[in-house]
Amino acid sequence: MNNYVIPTIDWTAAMPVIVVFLTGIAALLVEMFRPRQNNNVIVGISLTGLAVAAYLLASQVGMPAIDTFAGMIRRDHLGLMLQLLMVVACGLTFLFGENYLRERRMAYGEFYPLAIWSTAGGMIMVGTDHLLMIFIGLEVLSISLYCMAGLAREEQRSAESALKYFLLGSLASAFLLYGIAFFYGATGTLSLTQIGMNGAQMNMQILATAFVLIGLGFKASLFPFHMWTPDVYQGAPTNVSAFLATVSKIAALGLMARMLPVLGQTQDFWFPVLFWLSMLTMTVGNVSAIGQTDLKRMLGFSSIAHAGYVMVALLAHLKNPKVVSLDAMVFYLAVYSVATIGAFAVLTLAVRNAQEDARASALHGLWKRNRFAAGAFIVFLISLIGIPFTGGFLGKLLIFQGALQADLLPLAIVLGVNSAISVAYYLFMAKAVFVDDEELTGARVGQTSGGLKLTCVVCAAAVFGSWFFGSTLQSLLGAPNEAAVKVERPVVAQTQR
Amino acid sequence: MGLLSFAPHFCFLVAALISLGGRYLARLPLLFAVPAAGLATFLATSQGQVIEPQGVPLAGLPWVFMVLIAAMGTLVLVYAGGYSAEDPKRFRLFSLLYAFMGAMLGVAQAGLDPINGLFELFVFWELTSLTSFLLIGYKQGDEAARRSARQALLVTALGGLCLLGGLITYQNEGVTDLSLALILLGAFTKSAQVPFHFWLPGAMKAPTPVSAYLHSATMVKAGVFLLAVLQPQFAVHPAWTPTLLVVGGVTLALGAVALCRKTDLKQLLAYSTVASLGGMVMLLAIPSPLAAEAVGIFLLAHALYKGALFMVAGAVDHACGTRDIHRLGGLGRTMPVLAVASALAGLSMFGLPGTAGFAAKELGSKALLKSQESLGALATGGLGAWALAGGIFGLLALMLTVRLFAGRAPDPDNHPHPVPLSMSLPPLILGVAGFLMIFLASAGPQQWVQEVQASLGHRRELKYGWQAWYGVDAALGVSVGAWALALALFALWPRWKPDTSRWTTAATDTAHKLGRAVLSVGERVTRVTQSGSLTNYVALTWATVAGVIGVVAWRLFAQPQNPGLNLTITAKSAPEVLVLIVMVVGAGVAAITQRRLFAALSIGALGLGVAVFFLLHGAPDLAMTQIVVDTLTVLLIVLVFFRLPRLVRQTQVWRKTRDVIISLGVGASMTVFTLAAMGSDRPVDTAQWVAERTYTEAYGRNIVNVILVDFRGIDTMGEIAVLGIAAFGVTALLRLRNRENLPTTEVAE
Repeated sequence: MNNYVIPTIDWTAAMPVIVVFLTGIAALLVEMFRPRQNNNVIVGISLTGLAVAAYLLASQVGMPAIDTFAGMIRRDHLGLMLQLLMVVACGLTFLFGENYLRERRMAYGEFYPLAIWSTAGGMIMVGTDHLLMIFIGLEVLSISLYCMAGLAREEQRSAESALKYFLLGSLASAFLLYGIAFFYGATGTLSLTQIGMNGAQMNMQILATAFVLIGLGFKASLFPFHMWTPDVYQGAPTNVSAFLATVSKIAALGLMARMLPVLGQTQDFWFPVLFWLSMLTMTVGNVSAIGQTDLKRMLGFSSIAHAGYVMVALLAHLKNPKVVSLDAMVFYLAVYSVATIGAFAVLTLAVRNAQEDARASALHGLWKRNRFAAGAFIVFLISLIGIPFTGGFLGKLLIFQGALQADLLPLAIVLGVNSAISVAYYLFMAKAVFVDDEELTGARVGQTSGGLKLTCVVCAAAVFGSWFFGSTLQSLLGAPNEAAVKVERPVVAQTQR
Repeated sequence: MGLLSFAPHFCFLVAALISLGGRYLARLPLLFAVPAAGLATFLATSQGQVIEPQGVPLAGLPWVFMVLIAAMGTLVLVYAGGYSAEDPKRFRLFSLLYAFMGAMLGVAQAGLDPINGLFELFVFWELTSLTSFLLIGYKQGDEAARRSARQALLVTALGGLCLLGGLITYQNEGVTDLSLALILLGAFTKSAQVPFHFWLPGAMKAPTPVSAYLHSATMVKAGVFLLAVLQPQFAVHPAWTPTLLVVGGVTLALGAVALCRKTDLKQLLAYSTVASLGGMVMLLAIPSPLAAEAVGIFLLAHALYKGALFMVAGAVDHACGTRDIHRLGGLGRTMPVLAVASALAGLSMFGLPGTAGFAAKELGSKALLKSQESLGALATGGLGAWALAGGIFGLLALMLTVRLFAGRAPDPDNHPHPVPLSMSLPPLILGVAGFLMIFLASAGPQQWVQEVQASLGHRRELKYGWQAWYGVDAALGVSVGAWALALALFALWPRWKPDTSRWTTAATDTAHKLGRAVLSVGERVTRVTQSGSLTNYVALTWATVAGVIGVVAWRLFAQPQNPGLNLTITAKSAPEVLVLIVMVVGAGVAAITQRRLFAALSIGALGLGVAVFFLLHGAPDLAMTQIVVDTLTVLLIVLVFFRLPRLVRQTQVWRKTRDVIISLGVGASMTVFTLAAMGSDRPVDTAQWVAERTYTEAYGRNIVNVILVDFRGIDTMGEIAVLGIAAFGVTALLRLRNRENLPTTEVAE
C-alpha cells in the first residue's frame, strides 16, 4: 500500500465541467425553494454559469494538452473547442426557451438544470480519453435528454417521443457499453490512446469498435440508426429539439472525431462501413426531408443530412490526416449549430393556444407579420443550404475541398448532389414564410419575445461572421500542433488582403 | 484607385437602398437608372487603372464585359421603368436588378485574375444564379413562373456545384480530365448548352426587362466568359477543342432549328439565344487570334441586337397583350419608333453588310474556314451549323421586322396601347449602337475587340476588325447562302404549323421527371424507414447489428488461426445440457406466448438458468446475485404490466416471420461473438492480481469479500445507491397502483 501515489490533479482542466454541474445544482435549488412565479432567476443563473464555463474554456485555449485526474480528464484543443461549442449552443437555446415554454404553459423550472447537466455530460464525453468516462458522459447527456423530450407531459406526442427516445437510446447505450467491455477484454485497458497502441486481440477489437460505433451512430443519428430523430424532434418541445439537434449531436460526432483517429489499426474494417453510412445518411436525410409537411420533422431530417456532411469531413481527415485537418469538421459543426438553433427559435413562433403546430401552414405570411423573424429565418436557411456569404457555405466548401484532397471523390459528389436536393425543402420553408398568404389558412403567429430576438441576432451575426472572419476562425479552431497541415484555402484570403 | 474594386458592392448598396426606401421614389422611375449610368461611365473611363486588392489592371475581356453589364443595365432599368408602370411594388424589381448587376460585375471583375480570383468568381457566379432565380420568379403569384425559376435554379446550381468541384480540382492538381470536365459542365449549364439548354426558354416567364438583361446580354454569357478567361490555361488539354466545337456546334444547330416553329416572340428569341451561345462556345474552341477576334465581335454584336429585340418583344407584348406572332402584324403605324428600333436590330441580326451582325457573321465564317486546315471535318461541320443558323437568324429577323411591323394587322379588333418613350428609346439606342460599332469603329470598338483578344492569350492585333465590307471571298459566300436560306424560309414559313412536337421540351420533361422521381423515392424511403412504429425501428436496428456483427464475425472465422468449436458432450455435462434445454424452452415460450405474465416468468426462468450455470461452475455468490437481480427484474416487469393495455394479438404472419429471422440472426451473431471472446486469451489476469494481493495488502481471507469491500469498494457503494434508487422506483409504482386503482382492462379499451 505504501507505493500508492495520490494522483496530481490539474483543477483548471476539470473546472469548466465542474462549474457547469454546479450551475445545474444551483438552478435546481432555486427551483425548489422559490415559489414559482417565473423562471427568470433560473435563466439568469444558468446563463451566468454557462458564461463562466465558457470563459474558463476559452482561457485554456493554447495551453498544452494534458491528462489529469488519473487519466479521466483530458484537455486538448479539440476537446476545448467542442466543449465551448456545446456551452454556447446550450446558452443559445436558453435565450429563446423561456418565453416559448411559458406560452405552451409548461415553464417547469426543471428544464434548465436538466439541459445544463446534459451539456455537462456532453462535455465529459469529448473531454476524456477514458472509455468509462465516455460512457458516464453519454448517460448523463442522455438521461437528461429523455426527461427533456417528455417535458410536455400533457401531450401524447411528447410522451411518445420521450418513450421512443428512451427505449432506443438505452439500446444504443447498451451497445456502447458492450463494446467498451470488449475493448477492455481485448486490451486490458480503458484508455483510448493505449487501446490504439495495443495490437492484442485485433479480432475482438474490431467487434468492440463495431459495437461502440453502433452506439454512437444512434446518438449522432447516422443511417440506419436515425429513425428516432424526426419522431423525437417533432414530439419534443421546440427548444428541446434545438438542443437535441446541436448539443447532443456535437457530443456524439465530436466523440467520433476523438475516437476514430486513435483506432487506426482497425481502420480497414470500419472505414468502408462509415464511408457507405455517411453517403446513405446524407441521402436518406435529404430525400426524406423533401416529402415532409411538418417543419420540425423537416429540420430533423435536415439534421440527419448535416450529420452526414460532418461525417464526410471526418472521413476525409481519417483517410489523409496529414493533408486534411479536423478544423473543417469543427467549423461545420459550429455553423450548423447556430443556423439550426436560429431556425428552431423562429419555429417557436408557430405555437398557438398552447399547442404545438409546426406544419408549414403555421408560418404562412410570417413575412408580413413579423419581418424580423422572417428575415432571420431566411438567413438561417441560406446558411443551411450553403449559399455564399454565410458560414454554411464556407463550411461546406471546406468539407468538399477536404474530401477531394483526401481522394474521396464519391463522397464529394454525393455531398454536392445532396446539397442540391436540400435546396428543394429549404426553399419550401422559405416559400411558406414569404409567398404563401396567411388569408388562406388563417395561421396565427406568436409574438417575438426579446429573448427570441436576441437569439436571432446572435445566430445571424454568427452565420455571417463565420463567413467574414472565416480564416481567423479556422486558424483558431485548428490546433497549433494537432493539425498537421492547414487546409489550403483559396478563400477570403484574396478579398481581404 | 481603390474605388474601382467596389463596383459590385456599390450595386449591392444601391439594391439595399432601393429595397429600403425605393417606394418613396416610385413615381420617378428614371431616377433609378442614374446610379447605373454613372457606374457605366466610370467603368468605361477607368480602363487600365489598377484594382487595388488584386493588383491587376482593369483591362481585357473582363473590362469590356463590365462596361457592357453596366451599360446594358442602365438601358434595361430605363426600360423597366416603363414596363412596370402599373406595378406598385416595382422598386423591388429595380432592387433585384441592381443586386444581379452587382453579382454579374463581381463575376467579371474576378475574371481579371483568372488564377487567384477563381474562388471569388465562383461566389459571384452562385449569386447570379440566386438573383436570377428571384428575378424569374418575380411574379410570385404565378405557379408557372415559380416552376421555371426553380428549374433554372436547379440546373444552374447543379452546374455551380460542378464548377466548384472543378475549380478546387484545378487548384489542387492543375489542368486534368476531371477539372476540365467539371468546369465545362459548370459553364455549359450556365450558358444553356445542349443538353442543359431547356431552362433558358423556361426562364422566359420572367418580366421582359429581366429576359433582355439576364437571358440575352449578360448572365447566360457568364459561361462563355468563364471559358474565355480559362482558355489560355485549358486550351492545352487535347479534349478542349473537340468538346467545345461539338457541344457548341450542336447547340447552335439545334437551337436554330428548334426556334423555327415557335410562335411566342420571347420563345423565338430564347431559342435564338441558345443558338448564339452555342456559336460563341464553338468559336472559343478554336485557338487562333482570328477566332478570338470573332468571339469579341460576336459577343458585342449579339448583346446589342438581341437586347434590342427582347425589348421590342416586351413592348409589343405590353401594347397588344399577346406575344403570339400569328396574331400580330402591321404595328409600324401605331408604334413607329419601335419599328425603327426593330428594323435596325433586325438588319444586324439578318447580317446585312454595314451592320455589326454582318461583321460577326463574316469573321466567324473566316475563323472556321481558316481552322479547317488544322481541325478538318470538325470545323467543316461547325461551318455548316454556322451557315444554317445564320439563315435561321435571318428568318427570325424578317419575322420580327417585316412580319411584325409591315403589312396589315391580322386581328383588326386589337387596338394596341401606346408605347411609352421609356420603352421604345432603349431598343432604339441599342439598334443605333449596332451601326456605330462599324462607323465609329476606331473610336473604341476596335480596341474592345483587341482587349478580348488579349484575354484569350493573343496579341492585340486585329486582322479585320469592325468593317462594313470584307471583300468577296469564301466567307461572303457563306453569308450569301445564309441570306438566301433566310428568304426562302420566310416564304415558306406561314405554311408551317406551330410546333406541337415534344422533342424540344424533352429535356424539360426529363428534368421534371427527375424531380418527381426524387420525390417519390423520398416518400418511399420515408415510408420504409420512418414508419413511426417502435417495433419496426428496433427490428431494423437489430437487423443491422446482426448484419454488421455477422459480416465481421464471418471475416474473423475465415482466418486460419480460429480456435474452432469443441462441442463434445460428456456425462459430466449432462446437467448443463438439461439447464440449457430449460432455458431454450423458456426463451421460446417468452416469444410465443400471448400473455405478458407468462412471458415475464419465462424470462425469469432464463435468468435462473444462468444462475444454475454459475452454481455448476462454482460461483455460488454470483448465482445468488443473479437470482436476486432476476427476481427483482421480473417483479418490476410484472408491476409495470399492470399499467399497460392488453396485449394485441399479432396476426400478421410476415411480421412474425421477419421477427423470427432477425432474432435468429442476432442470436447467431451473438453466439459467434461470444465464441470469439472465449477463444481469446486475457491480456491481464485480474484473478491472479487479486489473489496475490488479497492477503498481503487487504488482510482478508475471502477473496470475494475483499473484492467487494476493498478493491472495488466504490463500485459496491455505487451499486447500493442504484439499488436504493430502484427501490424508490418500485415504491412509486406500487403507490401509483394503489392510489389510482385502475383495472388494466379499462386502459385497454
